[in-house]
Amino acid sequence: MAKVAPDPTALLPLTPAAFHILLALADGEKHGYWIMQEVAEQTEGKMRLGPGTLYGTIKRMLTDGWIEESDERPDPELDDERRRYYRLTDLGQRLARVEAERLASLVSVARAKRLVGRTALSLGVG
Amino acid sequence: MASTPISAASFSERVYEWLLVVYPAAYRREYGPLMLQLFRDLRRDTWRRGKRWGLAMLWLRVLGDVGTTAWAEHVSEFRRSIVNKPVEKFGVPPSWGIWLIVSAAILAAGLLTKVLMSETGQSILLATAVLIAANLIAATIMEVVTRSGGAILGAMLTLVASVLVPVLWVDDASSWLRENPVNGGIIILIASFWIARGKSRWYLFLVALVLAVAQIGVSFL
Repeated sequence: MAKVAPDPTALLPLTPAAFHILLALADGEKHGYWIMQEVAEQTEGKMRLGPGTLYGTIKRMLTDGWIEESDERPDPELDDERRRYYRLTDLGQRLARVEAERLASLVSVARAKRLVGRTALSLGVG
Repeated sequence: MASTPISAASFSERVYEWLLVVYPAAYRREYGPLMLQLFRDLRRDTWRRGKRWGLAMLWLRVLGDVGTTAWAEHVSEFRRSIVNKPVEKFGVPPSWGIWLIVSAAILAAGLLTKVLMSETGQSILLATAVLIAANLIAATIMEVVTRSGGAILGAMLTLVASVLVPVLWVDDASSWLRENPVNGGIIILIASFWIARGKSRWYLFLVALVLAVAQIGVSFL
């Protein structure tokens, strides 16, 4: 029997940690420390995942099929072979997209209500 | 490049490695080395940027992280063990332990019945018979409905331990059962230690402990 793909909208909203990890992996596979650095960069240092939060979230995302481990190494000479690399699955990619769309629509509402002042005025919203 | 003094680096890593024991064993086996590797990278970069102050701030963050995530992993492990019941990880099939505790709850309810019947002037032996019958009927129904072994065995263990042993062992069983109300509770405690030993099944022990205390309390009524 063919496996029915889960509806990603039913899994929303995502936790901030999960969404940031999906975003970090959106442009390619990465290992744990790389993901952590990417998340800190994305949030200008406002969100710093600890090892427990990072691997706890990764564990759940692996179980739920949002991400998967990758066997490929960018360059075995340069890389520590003990590191594990992760990449998005199809479900993970769809999930990142629908969550981003959900957040974008929330921002539109905030703009319409002039909660995002300058941006709203410069875009002529509201 | 400024590197961390070796003693401070190895001490930090050793402390972090030691801290990982607060996570569930299965999680630790899978992710412990990765977390340690991550901590090592973090510690190295933090030292390069902020020296001792940076390291102190890192430790504050890490302690908060361990405190919150270890608890979450234990809850997650508990849920998974209830849903999947991984037989191979137990010394005995997990259903035995669970049914032992379920039957202990029935036993506690039966003891309450026994006490209430005694107070209304009924025979203590009749009350004990009601207790045994209720326990075995409930265990049989559980075993048939759930099609899992262990319910009857669990019920028998608690019955034998807390009711039949004193009946067979003590001359004046009726008064012994009345005057030594803690026997069932103690037996449940011993059983829960047996179930929980070396298996990280701390929650089974916790549930059994609550049941044992409840039973001892009820017996004193």
